[in-house]
Amino acid sequence: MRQTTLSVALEVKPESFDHLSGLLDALRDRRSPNPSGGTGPFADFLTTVPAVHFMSLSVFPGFDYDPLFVIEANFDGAPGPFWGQLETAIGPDLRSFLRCCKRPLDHTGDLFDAVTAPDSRAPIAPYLEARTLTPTVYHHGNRGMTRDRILAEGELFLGTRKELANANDGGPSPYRKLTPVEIHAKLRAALLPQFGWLAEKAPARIPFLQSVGDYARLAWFVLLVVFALSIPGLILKSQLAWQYYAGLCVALFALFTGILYKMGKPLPGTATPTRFSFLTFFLRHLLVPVVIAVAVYVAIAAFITAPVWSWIGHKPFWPAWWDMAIWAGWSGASIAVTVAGILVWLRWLERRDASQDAPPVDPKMLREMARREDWIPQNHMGSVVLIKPGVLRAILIRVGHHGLHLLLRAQKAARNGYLGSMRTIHFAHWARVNNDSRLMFFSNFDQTWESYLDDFIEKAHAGLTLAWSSGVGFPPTRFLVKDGASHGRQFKEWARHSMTVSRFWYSAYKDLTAEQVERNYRIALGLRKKQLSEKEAAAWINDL
Amino acid sequence: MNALTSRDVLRPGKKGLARWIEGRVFAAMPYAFAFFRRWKPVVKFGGMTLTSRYDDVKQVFATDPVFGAPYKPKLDVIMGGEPFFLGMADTPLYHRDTDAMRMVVLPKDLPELGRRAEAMAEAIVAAAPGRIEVVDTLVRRVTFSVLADYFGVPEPKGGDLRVWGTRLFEFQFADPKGDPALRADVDQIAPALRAHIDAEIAARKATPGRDDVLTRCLALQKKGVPGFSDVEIRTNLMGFIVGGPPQPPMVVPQAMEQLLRRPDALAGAQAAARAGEDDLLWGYVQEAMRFDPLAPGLPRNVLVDGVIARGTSHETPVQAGDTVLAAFASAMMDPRRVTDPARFDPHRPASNYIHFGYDLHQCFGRHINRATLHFMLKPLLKRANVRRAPGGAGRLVKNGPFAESLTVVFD
Amino acid sequence: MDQRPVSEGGGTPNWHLSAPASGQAQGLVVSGFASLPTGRALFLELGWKGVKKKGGGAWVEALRKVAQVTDADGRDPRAVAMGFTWSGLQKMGLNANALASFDRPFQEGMFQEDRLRRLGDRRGEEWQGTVIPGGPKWSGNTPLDDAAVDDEARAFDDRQEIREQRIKTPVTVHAIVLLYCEHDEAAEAWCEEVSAALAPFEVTVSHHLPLDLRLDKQGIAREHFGFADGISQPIPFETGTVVYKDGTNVPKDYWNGVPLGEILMGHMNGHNEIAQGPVVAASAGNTDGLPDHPKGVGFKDLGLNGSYMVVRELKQDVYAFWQSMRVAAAHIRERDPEGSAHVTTTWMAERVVGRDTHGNLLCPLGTIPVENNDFGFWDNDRHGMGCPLGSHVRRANPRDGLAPTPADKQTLLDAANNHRILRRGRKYGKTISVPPTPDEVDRGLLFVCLNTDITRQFEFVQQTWILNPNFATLYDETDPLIGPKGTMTIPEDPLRRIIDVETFVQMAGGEYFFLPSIPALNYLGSL
Repeated sequence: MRQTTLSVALEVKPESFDHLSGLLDALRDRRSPNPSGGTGPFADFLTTVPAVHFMSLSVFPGFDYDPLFVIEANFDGAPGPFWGQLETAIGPDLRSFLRCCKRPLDHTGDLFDAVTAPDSRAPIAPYLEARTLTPTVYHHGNRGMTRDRILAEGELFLGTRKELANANDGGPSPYRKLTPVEIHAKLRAALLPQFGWLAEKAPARIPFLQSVGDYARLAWFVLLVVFALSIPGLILKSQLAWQYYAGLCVALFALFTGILYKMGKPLPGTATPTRFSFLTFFLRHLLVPVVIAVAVYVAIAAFITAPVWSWIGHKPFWPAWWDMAIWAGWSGASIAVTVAGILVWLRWLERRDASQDAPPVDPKMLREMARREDWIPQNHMGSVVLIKPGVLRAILIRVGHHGLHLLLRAQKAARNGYLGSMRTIHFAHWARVNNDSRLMFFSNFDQTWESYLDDFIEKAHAGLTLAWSSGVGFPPTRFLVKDGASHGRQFKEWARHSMTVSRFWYSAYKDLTAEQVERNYRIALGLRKKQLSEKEAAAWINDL
Repeated sequence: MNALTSRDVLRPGKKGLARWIEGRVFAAMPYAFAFFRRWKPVVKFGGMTLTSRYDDVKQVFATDPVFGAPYKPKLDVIMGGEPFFLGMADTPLYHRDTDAMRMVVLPKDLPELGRRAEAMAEAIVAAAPGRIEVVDTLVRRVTFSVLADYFGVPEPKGGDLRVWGTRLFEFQFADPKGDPALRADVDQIAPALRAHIDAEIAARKATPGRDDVLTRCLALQKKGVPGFSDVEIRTNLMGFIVGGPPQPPMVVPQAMEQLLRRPDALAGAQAAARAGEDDLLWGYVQEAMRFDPLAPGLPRNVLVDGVIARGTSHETPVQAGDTVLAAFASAMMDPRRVTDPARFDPHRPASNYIHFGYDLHQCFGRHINRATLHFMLKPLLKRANVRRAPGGAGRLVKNGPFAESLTVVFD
Repeated sequence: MDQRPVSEGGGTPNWHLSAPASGQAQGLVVSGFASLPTGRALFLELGWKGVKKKGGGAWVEALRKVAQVTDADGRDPRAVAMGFTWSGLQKMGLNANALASFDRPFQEGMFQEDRLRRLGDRRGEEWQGTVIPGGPKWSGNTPLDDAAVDDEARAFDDRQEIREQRIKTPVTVHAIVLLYCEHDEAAEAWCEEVSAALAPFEVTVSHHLPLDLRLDKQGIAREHFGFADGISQPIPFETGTVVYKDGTNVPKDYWNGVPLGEILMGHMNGHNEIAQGPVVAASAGNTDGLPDHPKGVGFKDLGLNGSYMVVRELKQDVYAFWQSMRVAAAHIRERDPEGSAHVTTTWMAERVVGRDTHGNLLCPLGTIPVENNDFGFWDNDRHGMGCPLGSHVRRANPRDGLAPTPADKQTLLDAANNHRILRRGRKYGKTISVPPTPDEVDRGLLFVCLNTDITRQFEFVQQTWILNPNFATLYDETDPLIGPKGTMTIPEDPLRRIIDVETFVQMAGGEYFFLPSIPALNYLGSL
């Protein structure tokens, strides 16, 4: 099923910042510290807003900008029904929050007035819809698992435990002498009356068409990037004979790589050991896709331009196609030069980037965060950082984030919920706010904040550095992925510095980690089948 | 013919071609609503403004200072000029009266009402030899018996409460053009019902009855609680009889018809009925009603100049004196707020349903409905092989807005 | 000197510090003083009111006259280690800016409300079952800091103040002195000597514990439950600083190597940074003996070659442990009469620990001998068929066992080694009778460990591994040995067993201490 991750970021009247924080605290207190409803008036949040998995309401204090109120939500299905449900659950509260916000200067101003007028009874959902931000990158740890399915399979897991523990209570367990295949059959028979849905076919987590879309979008994106990178080559080749063109390319490539060799070394004191090597990564993961992408680009570009050339040059189609293919092929060869040139530019910027060695962290904010963290096995963080200026950075953050986004949708491990070697994230996303001048990050993850960031530092620093190195003050990086987040404490302080208190945070399944959701899924998938083969049963039984 | 002694609950409906056309119009309405929701969410027809989107319908219901309930003039005819809370704006008297009624119609009564409805429905189904008519034989009998008994209003001598109540209901809610023949009936029935209840009040004062709403009212009257004078008690009881029991015989058979159209849903509802999962069964009935609710919408009178959907691209001003039809049937099918509205899903959140209106004049009887409607069908659904009766009898026949007959057979 | 338990024969040579670090670090860093089998932990309270402006460190000098704090450059006939709580340093009159330069957990103290929740000791108003009834006896009683309540007045602020609760213990500890010597009578006399030397300075011993290695006949030091203790320590490395006896550099140990900065401040740590320590302004008193701080101009490095010492007094209920094991084993035999001949009480206890009583690691087939500490879990026992996934040793150091795929083994091992602690604990209290019978004797482990980043090391281990209910994709169970009452999964082919375990270990007191270097100790003495 389609799942949506989105956020709504609204500027707050500075005078109402503290008041709004208090309102959010009050909303949370009415629900007790337990983020999954607890016992207060929010116990019914589960039923009134059945779409939602995780939701947070927080306010970022203003340093460079006025404060920012952010609603972050991760839910099943389309946004419209979710907003409707949310308004039913906390409509009057939402209205009082919106009244603390600034009237937007764009076309949504009238809607804001309608929603926030004294005694207004206008629906709030249309305004929130109009102000919704689309994430630049998002990641789902249990992709395609609806909330109800997660809850139902969680119940099933507990059911299996109860059955295995209590069958023939007081005497020998009837399960102990069976083979895995028999255990499966017996357990299924015992649970079927209580869990009738085991007889139904499991819905596909990622429907076929969605997968096709994921791959097609990524392929289209790669072709566009190849085209963009080949533009300088296209222009040059159209003006130069091939000997001069080839000579120029080789000369420039040699020049750029020479500069890179000199500039590529880390600045003193910023090097960190890493197993990540560009050359191995390129040879192992990139070379084949790049060659294929360039070949496909050449073929397609020739098909698109051949009719024009055959008309202008009065040539038959295939000779025209061949001319165009040669042109595009030459430009394809120049991509390496273009990339090297961009890397020189990037490295030149990186060497001059001001990194913040000791980002100021407000101890009071830190304590307010600590006060709300670690009540359940899951935690939440929200952060906002300024984006580094400049043309190249502006392009890189857009292209890089979009590429990362498409990759996370298409890459096998990421589709299974993994980032590197970790599967601790339920929902995370990035979005640009304040007219694209700031980058916002939200994550709902398992374990503690410290372990979450340590995971990134120790297990996925390259990817994390790539995604966050466009932030002002980020620890010094090399070629977007090296060093950076490997500076453990400095990175953690930087992250804390950018964070705000998650004043209201809701989780629909507080006991279930992303790994446990997958474990329950595997158990349920096995139990849905009438019969398992010996091999299947042997693998399946490890999860019980 | 004398309206007081009539045994025909529904007045004769249209015949032949006219009836066929009426049926087609009702059947086409969902498509028209879909068109309007997409292309013209707020549309004016003559003097009437139709709102078809979920947000706008809720806004109209919620904004009672602008969009007033239009019930007062006809209520005055029924009540003989006495004020009933349905006809009031958001005034202190409104709150006094609804609060007063909440002191006599208590949440703790609900389980017992459900049990009584189920028991009576069971008796009726058990007495039927494998074939039953749902509208009158089952639902109307159960509703009027259980509720009249609960309120403490007995059958009038020589009359039929089902006829009286339904006729007054039609006049109040389903007579936009003002049929003179119906008015003539009402002019007979309304004073008769008032006199009937007055007589019952007097009788109860002489010999107290068992615990029902009327008994509780009289007890509070004795204590001097405001809102419980004889006339006020009579008005409220009349309001309940007119506004309450005539409705389930409309919506419950309609829900049954929707279930019969969907074999999976019917099977699910039957499984829930058999397993005693009453909340799930309610989910089925409520969801079935969403596909054919009580009415397409409810009218509201515009009291002061206002705006519907202000700030949106379809913002529309309305002037005092306009009539707005808040099409809640359409709102419940609005994909902007209701997930996959064409799908039958008994697990929808409560906010997807606007059967009982919203905010100030939200149905006073919604809790009673929630406690009883599904129990009226439960005994039937428990039967094996429930299916339509052969021929035309097996399809729901409507007479105007009223369900007229639906016959099902079972093993 | 050695850092390994006496019970380990050990093929690996011991590591040492080279000069000048060897003369600056306290001996406890490089040694558990295994050759000195007895000892005392003295918990000191500074008796004066308020903060001393001058002379707050005089008692330290007096103490060192009778109990010289041992450095790390060779074996001594007696040994002493010493640490201070934040509240102690404050009372001694350490400069407020210097006090603010310590690691956040140390400044806030172990008993800060949110920290206690993370450590599994207390939630909201309630002490958990893993704490002795009535709450712990002692702590540093660290005062609430400025962050505890936001009472700053601001225009447009109408929020309700959230006032943090201050959690206090009956006994306040400002400093800890660990004495090690050869036999008990000497220890007793030494204690009296120390008490007498401190008395004139209003410093009292507010709590004390007799510490003991108590080797058994096989020469194994066992904790009270009967298991060999002190196995598997991290091995620090730093070129030029960490050396063998012959002066050659200790190479990075593949399985257990950690950068020296994980243990000593001022050295490169596992996160590619110099482990941060406290600083003091050069002008604040007699700072001549302290090195310059590498970054803070005009400041002296108070932390170099010092460390943070985590101390927790863990009371053990030995009878309850074995009783619970007996019940669990009986339950398994009852549920599986034909397949459980091997399930004895000891078998059960070994699954809980993850090693046999001699310290050999449980494997699907046989064991890995205690001397061998060079192994990962992935290749030996991925599914925990030998050493259960949730057993104490796997939780305390998962090595490469949490890797989802073989390709991630290396990454996960490296990651796990960023969360190692150097353990220096010893048991206290009389050994229980054999077989165990219930008694009223106070016995347990004085857990002591050294690290430089308390959050990333000690607290991480406690929270993310030991008490994590979802460790290694388990569900709703924590460390069976030192965690609260609950369940434990024992993987087995074909079907896992799940047993109930009780609470056996309860915290009776605890605090974070600063373990200063000798120069820093000199400075503190000069306050």
